[in-house]
Amino acid sequence: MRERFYQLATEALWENDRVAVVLAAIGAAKIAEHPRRFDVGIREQLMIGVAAGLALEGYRPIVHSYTPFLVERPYESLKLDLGHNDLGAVLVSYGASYDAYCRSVPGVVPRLRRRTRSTRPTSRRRTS
Amino acid sequence: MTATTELGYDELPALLTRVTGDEKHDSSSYSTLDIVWVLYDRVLEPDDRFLLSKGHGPTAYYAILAAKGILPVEALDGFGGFESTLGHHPDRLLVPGVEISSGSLGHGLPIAVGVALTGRRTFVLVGDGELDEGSNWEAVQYAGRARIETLTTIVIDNASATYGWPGGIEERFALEGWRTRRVDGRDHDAIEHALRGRGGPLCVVAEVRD
Repeated sequence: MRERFYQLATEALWENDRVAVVLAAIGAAKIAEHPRRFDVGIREQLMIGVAAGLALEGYRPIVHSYTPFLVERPYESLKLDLGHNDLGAVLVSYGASYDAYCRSVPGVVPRLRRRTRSTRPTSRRRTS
Repeated sequence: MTATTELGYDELPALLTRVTGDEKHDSSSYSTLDIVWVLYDRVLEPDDRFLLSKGHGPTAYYAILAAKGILPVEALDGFGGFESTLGHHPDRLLVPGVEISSGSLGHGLPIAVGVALTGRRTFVLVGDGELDEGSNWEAVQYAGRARIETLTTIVIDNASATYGWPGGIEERFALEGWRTRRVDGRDHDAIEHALRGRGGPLCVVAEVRD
């Protein structure tokens, strides 16, 4: 599933000139360099802030990391930079977080919608 | 910007009084006054962006937006009231000319990096106390290494960082690859000259001690 995401994100970058991809090291080896693929290094607050800035300029950022680094670590950036500023981004996580925060925390960010996909059909019923 | 109803620098004290309802003005609103004035009066072009990260003291910002005709002067009267669009933290969804909703420290500079990455000339204003927040350093490090030439960070240095910045705040920026300038935060010509500096990213430290 992760490989498929990297493939689709790469295609989206080349097919739509308003798409940008923002990474914090994770996934950087899987999405080839492109003028709108920004790897900020292991800096998750900046990853979300950069996505908000790109959205302010009319781009549609796709932001990706493992769940705790996409949600819990930069949580206030999600809440303020995207939520409070009413800016759009596509946040794509991978894997679960230690205590399932990934399901509860985004629920309190205004206007943030959550979609869950599991690689195992049997567990999908429980987690989605 | 509309030029029809513009007011001058000498009229800002009266506008500030209209915002705060007080003849005397506290330091958080006053520290940014000259920098923001020079930006709007001399530096910003219509395609540029100015992000006020230091949004916890927005009264000078509101007064200048009104002086420049971006915000109706009448809007200043209700500042902070229930019916007013002008809160103690600016809201970009409510106030004309406000680029980001800010107030919680450490968010404007990371957002400014994203704006500047698109090639947009971008100015962001932070405080030296605000730079205690680690999120800023993620942005300073990346912008320096990625050589984001369209980004200018203005630091109001009013010595309010809890543990200070030994050697000067600009040393931290220079180490990360930024060009730096230090100016008197009340000297309009010096501020303008520094903000027009070429090559970047650029850090202008504006010293304000009164």
